[in-house]
Amino acid sequence: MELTAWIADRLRDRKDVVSQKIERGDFVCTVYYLTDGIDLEMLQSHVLRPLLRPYYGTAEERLSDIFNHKSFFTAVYTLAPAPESALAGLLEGQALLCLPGQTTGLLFPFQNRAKRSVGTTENEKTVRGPKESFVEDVWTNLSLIRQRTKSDKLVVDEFAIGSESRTVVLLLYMDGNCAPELAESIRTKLLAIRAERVPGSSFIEEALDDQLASPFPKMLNTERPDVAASSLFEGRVVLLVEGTPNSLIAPATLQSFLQSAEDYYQRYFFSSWVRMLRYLFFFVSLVLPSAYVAITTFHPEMLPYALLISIASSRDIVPFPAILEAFMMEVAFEVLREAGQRIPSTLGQTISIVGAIVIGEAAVQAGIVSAPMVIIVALTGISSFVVPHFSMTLAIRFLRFALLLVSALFGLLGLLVGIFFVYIHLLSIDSFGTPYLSPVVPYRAKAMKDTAGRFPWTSWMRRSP
Amino acid sequence: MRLVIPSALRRIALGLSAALPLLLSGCWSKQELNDRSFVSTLMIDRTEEGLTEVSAMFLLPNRVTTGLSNSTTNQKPYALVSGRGRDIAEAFQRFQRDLPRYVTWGHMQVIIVGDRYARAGLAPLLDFLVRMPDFRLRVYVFHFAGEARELSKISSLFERFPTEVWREFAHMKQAPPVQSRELLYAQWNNLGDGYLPGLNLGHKDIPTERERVEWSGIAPAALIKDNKVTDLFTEEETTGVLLLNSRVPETVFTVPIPGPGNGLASARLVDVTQRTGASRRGDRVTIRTRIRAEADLITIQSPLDLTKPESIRKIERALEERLGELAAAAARKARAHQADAFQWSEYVKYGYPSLWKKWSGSLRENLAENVSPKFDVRVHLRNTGESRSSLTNK
Repeated sequence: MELTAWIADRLRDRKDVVSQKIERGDFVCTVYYLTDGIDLEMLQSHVLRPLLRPYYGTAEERLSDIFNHKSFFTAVYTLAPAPESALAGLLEGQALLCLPGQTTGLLFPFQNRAKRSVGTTENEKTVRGPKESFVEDVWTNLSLIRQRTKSDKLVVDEFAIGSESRTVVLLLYMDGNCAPELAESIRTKLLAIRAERVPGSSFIEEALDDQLASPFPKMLNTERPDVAASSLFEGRVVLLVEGTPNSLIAPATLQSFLQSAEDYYQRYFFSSWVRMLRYLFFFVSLVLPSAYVAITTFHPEMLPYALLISIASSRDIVPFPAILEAFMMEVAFEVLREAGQRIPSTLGQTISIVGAIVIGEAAVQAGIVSAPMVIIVALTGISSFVVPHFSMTLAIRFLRFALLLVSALFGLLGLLVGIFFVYIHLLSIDSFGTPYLSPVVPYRAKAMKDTAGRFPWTSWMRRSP
Repeated sequence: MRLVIPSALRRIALGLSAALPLLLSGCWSKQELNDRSFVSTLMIDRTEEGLTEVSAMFLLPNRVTTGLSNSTTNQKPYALVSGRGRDIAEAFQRFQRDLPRYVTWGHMQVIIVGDRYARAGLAPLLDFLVRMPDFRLRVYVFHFAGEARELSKISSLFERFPTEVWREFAHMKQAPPVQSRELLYAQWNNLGDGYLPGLNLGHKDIPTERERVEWSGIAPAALIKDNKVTDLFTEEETTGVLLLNSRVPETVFTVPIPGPGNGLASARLVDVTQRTGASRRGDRVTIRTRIRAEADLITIQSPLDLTKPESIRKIERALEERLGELAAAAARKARAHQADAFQWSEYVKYGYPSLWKKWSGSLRENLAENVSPKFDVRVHLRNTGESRSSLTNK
């Protein structure tokens, strides 16, 4: 069947598909493209003009001229021998040229994609260091990475995932730096995805995760091309997913979620100090409310007398048990945070301030909540944002509630057992074969220079051979 | 046949068995702060009929003002509750019954023993302290020459709670501090002797206060022999006790400088430390206590030339003699009562077991007779502040 007829049959009554006939004598070609999806000027000058030029020969001669004489069109194009691939190209936004009596179509990549220009980072800001951030377009993102990795070792694999959405996923790694098994296993998993559509990179992240029962994320996502590029050098794999301005990095360990790009751009004294603070407050945000509830309800002996006086006196008129108080405040904080995120940005600031004042000040004044609890919850809330990667913050938030529950039921013993369960869980999981707690467990002395703190670059960075 | 347990089941079983220790604790031991009342001071007396009277000073959280919301109420943020009984537990039960909250002992910091109770014997108190797990072992114990509960009348001018006042006396080493564990140790390991720092109560006219102030300060320490208070040290001897057993961070001494017309010198002794050792010669044991201190001169009323080393040495000698006298006086009092107040019997018991065995028939007599203390005091005057004295001829 002739391609023109096949396409006309498949795309009948599609209002967004433009078909344009080009007649030169009895030689009639058809160009298909999507409305507003194409650079018409390119089409004019590189396809229509050559076809409309006077030609002195038969239709057969002309056809062979087009197929054999490669520079007939002054633009790059690909041949689509099968009608399905021609249709796929058309739906991707390319211009499809059908020649009379032929089953092979010519695809011209004149897409006029709607895309955002490269902006500045929104969620992983740094004071010093690059400000560029990824956009939704994978090819732009690829070029952002390329600018930082001008090496012939960079391997880029392309996948189209989703039977209908045909989302482009790029798999990047450095040949030689990256373990071949790692790249291979991710490739296999990507190929195994059977889905109609890919809503975003989080879908890929979930599809590649073997341990979905864990709250901990197994892949790092970043909007910073510099982070992605340095991950490549460290031997990791980067996935770019069309339509998501976040790249995925695998494998990711707990420690990598606690590193921020800023650490590498500031002087190492400061970076090391901040990193240690971050580790401390990561733990604080996990256990502080639970420890407070456990100590005040089970083991008040642990409090120094002067502190006990303050706590007991401010708790005295509070009508709720400590656990309920903590739970209410934690939930209120979560709601505030969630609301602050959803409210249009122009209103967000106001709402969160009002919320904080209402919950903090008024509740204490009214004697519904004790002041120490407000301090505890606020400190916990703030310290959870010390973790630079939001996906880890979410995991911690969730675990906090579980720990709060066990410590309210069983006191410090419950809290300890709870922490041990979390620890055992962390020991049991891995990210694409890398133990989640590495390089601490199993211990790798070499990697500690970028884990315990941030030692000077020269002491640990790989040198050129 | 071997029983095959499915792995999922095994996992659940493992998880459950790991969670078993949680049953050791649980909701039943949970108590909100609002349901507890905290004892800060325990006062123990003996009535004339021979009953034990236990008074506990409780913190009243609802009367404590914290932070900036400082409404000056005249209500005291503490309350004293008493109960009487044949022993401590019964007396305690009497007042717990009438309280709307559970009594929590974990924050008790001070125990004050009334004179009559102390002279009748501390053994029941020590038994109570060691049997109940609720107490900390670092509770300061004081002696009061009178009814201990009378002390609760004090107006704690400088601190929010009277307990703080007493605790600070011990903490700042204004009196020789004794913690409950030291008494327990003496009772269980040695002869049950020791000493207790004393408190007093009196009126003080303080012009800035509208009413007359009930003031509690330091009183001479009490000597304990076999768990009973038998005598009181004098004020000087009390200082000696302090020098003998505690690391004193800072204290001031005023001494006359020997020599005609040399006048007085006051020095601040910084970080007084001591080390004790024993040596045996025949059946006699000498307990050697080395006392070391650094001193800063604070005032001097003397024509002494402070630029000369021998003048400095003179002041040092005067201080050393004074310290030695005080320590010796304290030791003398204890020996006179045949009391092992400073636990020196340990040096014999562990150092010379054969001697210990030999003495075991009449321990106290032998300890008093054959163990003699020696004091070696060194004071180093490190700073005179100013080399010229006010009385030096210019």
